[in-house]
Amino acid sequence: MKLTFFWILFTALAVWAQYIFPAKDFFSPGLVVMLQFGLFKSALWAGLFWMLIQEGTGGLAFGSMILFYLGLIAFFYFGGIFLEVSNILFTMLLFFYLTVFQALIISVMAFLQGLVLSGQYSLKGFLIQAGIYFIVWFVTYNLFKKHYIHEPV
Amino acid sequence: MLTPKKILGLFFVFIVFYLSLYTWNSRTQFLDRLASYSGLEVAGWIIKPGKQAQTRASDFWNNYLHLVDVHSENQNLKKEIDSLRTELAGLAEEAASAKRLEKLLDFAPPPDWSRFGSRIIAHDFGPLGAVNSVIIDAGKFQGALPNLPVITPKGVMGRTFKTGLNFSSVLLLSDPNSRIPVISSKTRVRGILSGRGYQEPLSLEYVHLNSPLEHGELLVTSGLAGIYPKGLPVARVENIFRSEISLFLIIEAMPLVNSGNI
Repeated sequence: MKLTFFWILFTALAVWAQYIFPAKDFFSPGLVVMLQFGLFKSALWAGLFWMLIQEGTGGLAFGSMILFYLGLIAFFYFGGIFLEVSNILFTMLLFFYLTVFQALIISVMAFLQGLVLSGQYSLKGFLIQAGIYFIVWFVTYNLFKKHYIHEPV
Repeated sequence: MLTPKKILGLFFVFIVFYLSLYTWNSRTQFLDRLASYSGLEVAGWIIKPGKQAQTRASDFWNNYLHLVDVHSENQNLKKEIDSLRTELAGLAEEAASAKRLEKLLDFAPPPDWSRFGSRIIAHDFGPLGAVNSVIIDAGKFQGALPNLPVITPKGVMGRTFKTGLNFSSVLLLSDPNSRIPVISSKTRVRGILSGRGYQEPLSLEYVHLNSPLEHGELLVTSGLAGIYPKGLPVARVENIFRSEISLFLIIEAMPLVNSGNI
């Protein structure tokens, strides 16, 4: 119950953060935290729910977030073969990869749907998104570890 | 343990599944509707209460606390009202005579359009906000449908492109994917107005080199695409350049509604 409340609060705060910072993603770090703590079932349901929020509010036809989250899971799985998944270096690599992968997915999907992007991708934008990922992950990971790690999963 | 063969197999199965899902959704738009009715609604209902509180606090501050320069602003506004009243009287006379002439020429009256108000609750929301867009608090329950014109008192802002139950996404004029057929108010030159991104002027395309279009002319919707009714003000001609290699003029127009600061 406490876990569910935590993720509902996370969702509400992430929606507000996305309102304050346009065109930025605040949900993926939550998914990474769930995967790092082995909450695969929760990650599945939360991922589906967050996918609907991102797709519903986005400007592209449905499908981009499926590829994005699949890319996240693939990196997490294959990266986990070589590095410890809760390692800070692994997490930073994951977020840099996600930042670039997100731009790639959106560009490809927009191209396939005949949409023109108005050049919103820049190095500054990438660094801001990677920074957001890391800060959100850091806060969420530590809060989750401190308050909810003892609850049976 | 997953072997490379199994991973390749899984990858192939996923690609087939994804392409089937994507094609099926392109045809039925079931998943798009599902996402609009669920995701857009959830985000809208989370943002709306806070946004209303923020608006109220800001109104309270501006109306009751922050009253610097209100007197001088009031004087200026009174002067502007007087000048607008004079202008309005002249225009009312012209409008009445235009109506009389239309009746004489037996013009078909334009279809009746109804208006309803809504508030902007978010701007370029989320990573998939790949187009210049805003979310407004009007959806199917309030009568909003896809491809409905969205206007402000200053002029056209854009059109709805995704509608949820109580919220809709609006494609702004500034987006490169936005195309509006327009006509100049004075010289009656037609063209297609397209966006070039935030803080950039709009581009008026397919205007012939010999067109008599004038600098500063108002561009209004021509009503040809069937989305916007005829006569809504959209932009004002800012620059006209003559190209040496093109058959058309290069025209920049400033939107009446600033998309970056709505």
